[in-house]
Amino acid sequence: MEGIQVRGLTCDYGDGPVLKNLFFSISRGEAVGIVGPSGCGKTTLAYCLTGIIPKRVKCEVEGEVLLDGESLFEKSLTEVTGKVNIVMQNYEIQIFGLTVEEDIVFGLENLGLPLEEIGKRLEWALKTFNLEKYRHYRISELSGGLKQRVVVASTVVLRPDFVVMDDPTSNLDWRGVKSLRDTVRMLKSQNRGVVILARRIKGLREVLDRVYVLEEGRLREAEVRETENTAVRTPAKRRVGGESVIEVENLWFRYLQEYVLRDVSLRINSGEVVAIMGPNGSGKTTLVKHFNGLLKPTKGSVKVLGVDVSKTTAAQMAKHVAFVFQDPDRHITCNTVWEEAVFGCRNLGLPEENAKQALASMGLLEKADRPPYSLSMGEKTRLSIASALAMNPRIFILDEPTTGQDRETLRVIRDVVWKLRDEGKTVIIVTHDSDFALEISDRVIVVYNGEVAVDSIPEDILLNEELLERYELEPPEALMGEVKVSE
Amino acid sequence: MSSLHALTVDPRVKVAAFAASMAVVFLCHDIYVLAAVFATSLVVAVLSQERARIFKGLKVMLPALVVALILWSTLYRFSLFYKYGGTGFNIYVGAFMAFRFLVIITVSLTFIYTTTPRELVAALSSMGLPYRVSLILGLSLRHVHTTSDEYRAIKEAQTSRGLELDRGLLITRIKNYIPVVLPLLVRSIENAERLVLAMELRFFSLKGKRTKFFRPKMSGVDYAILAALAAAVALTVLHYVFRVV
Repeated sequence: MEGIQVRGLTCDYGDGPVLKNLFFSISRGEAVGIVGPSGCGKTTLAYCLTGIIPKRVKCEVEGEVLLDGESLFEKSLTEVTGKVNIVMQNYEIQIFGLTVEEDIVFGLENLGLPLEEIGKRLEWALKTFNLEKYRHYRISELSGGLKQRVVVASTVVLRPDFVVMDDPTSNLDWRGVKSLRDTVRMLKSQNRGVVILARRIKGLREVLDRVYVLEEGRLREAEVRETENTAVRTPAKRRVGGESVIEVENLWFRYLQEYVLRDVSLRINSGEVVAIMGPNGSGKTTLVKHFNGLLKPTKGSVKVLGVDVSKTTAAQMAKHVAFVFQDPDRHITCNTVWEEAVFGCRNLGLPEENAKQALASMGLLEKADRPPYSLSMGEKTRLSIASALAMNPRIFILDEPTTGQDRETLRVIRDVVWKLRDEGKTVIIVTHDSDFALEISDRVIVVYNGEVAVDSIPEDILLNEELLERYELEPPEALMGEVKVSE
Repeated sequence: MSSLHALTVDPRVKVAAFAASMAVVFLCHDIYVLAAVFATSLVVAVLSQERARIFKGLKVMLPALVVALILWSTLYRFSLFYKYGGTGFNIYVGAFMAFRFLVIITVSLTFIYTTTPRELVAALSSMGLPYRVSLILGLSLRHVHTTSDEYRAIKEAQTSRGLELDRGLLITRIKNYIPVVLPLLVRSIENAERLVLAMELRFFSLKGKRTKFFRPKMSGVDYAILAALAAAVALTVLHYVFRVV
């Protein structure tokens, strides 16, 4: 029997099964998508397919995973890794080299391959993954999408028969998704099997042979409907903001030599939901970090609620501006959910009741005593939002809150954002998700190469194919033809 | 990548150049010699693509230089190197020591920024450092990068929620940093655990034989630089230690 067969797989970390009696199989040359909300057990499944469970991560396992007819659980990790390798969810930890070529070579050196063979495979990988230009680049200089491509290259160069990718799309912009699609196609053509576990498969559908839905630990084959271009939903009523709260005049900014922001001028008003969009590395995060004083303009000025941010600190600005960071894993720092939620309140001398309400509105109150690491990705994002809400800010900045979120979390975010707007507050959202921006924002600002490229109402930008193409934005479902996994 | 890497100076030569510069700087008593080392180091710095970082580093150190100038000018009599008589204030000694300090910083920064960790590890291991040690060194260097990223992220998260870091008395300031440093430690340990797993997935083990793909090779230019360095150190030693030349 060729390929991987999962038969009656059940996994339990000790407090109830995470995976319940899973059955599926995959052969070489096939790509399978497994879609599910955060916390549904995708990482657990990925670990089972690669032998990390039960070899390195303790877990009660029933059923079996067969690799070419032999039980995968009875093989050593090295044996399995030779055939099935993984691109992890936090793939940055998998990067060992300080430059691209060093990283690609690391595993090959460990295998003790002869020099010429390593040289050959290195050149092959650089060429196949379009990394030739970056071979001497430091990893820290690469965008998230490129880093991920390096990890995939470093994995594939070891020639596994199967590649498991745990949530590969969450940090990718549209360009990155398209490049991942090409990678999957290429792996298939080399007769390798690919398993993609993700929260959404937008942009990848055409290279996947089968799609399964993993929900509450159960797996079922999804019926994927692909509808024609649907009519645009009647857009929500756009609001026009009140008085201006953020005034950016001729802002230039650089970290080192090159300017990341170039002559940006804009005004953002109260009672307005603004989506900041643009591909990775265009300067979106750099721009919004000026709004709470984390960064200071190199040239030009940024005034927030009349205060010049060059003359104040982020801690001072915290009274008025709350910032929810991208990548909650890195920014959640306290030992319990409650401590995390109340951190800002305590610093600002606000009543702790605020934090309680915020947790409740994010549906996390009953988890207040839990350690944050036990939360799913979506819950972590909600916790970060709760912690910011508790400070009762006038301006609310969300940096990529939508990346890889499931629908439930998106809905919760939307409700909070609209509630804040109704209270006359300003909400600024950095996002790649065109559907989300179209649904909830009053205004879209596209940042491209460090400049404000367009600034208009969402429909004008996100339903205009020419602009989408020019600024490398993800087309909304209304234009793509809907890819919906039936519920 | 710096143009120094593009010129592919052998990392062993870089280590030698660093060591030689330091030797000369500490042995000499002449401002001209210091100036020569300083000028060489500046040329290398300017030629490298890392000049922005190097000069930024120098700028950060400026206040320390001023302090050095004042302290050496006024307190030199209490130093280990004291051997002249005098009134207790000597701007020449102060200026010399401050300049020496500046040269040391410039040389070090230039060395650090133009030598990648891989080169450093490669250089040291080809000079006979055992693999285990060079591996640990390489991993720690890599860890510095991750840790500094983590540090920045945590600091941003905390200050954005009203945590004042650089305010108040020294003791208060140190206390302020606790909410930044503690999570950083926890994070580092977690990262270390994941790192072990990730290394296994790349077939790493200490036992098996491992190919070394990047091996430094000495070129003619490298030998020429080495020869020049040796001559400079020899001259310095002969002049200042043995008083021969």
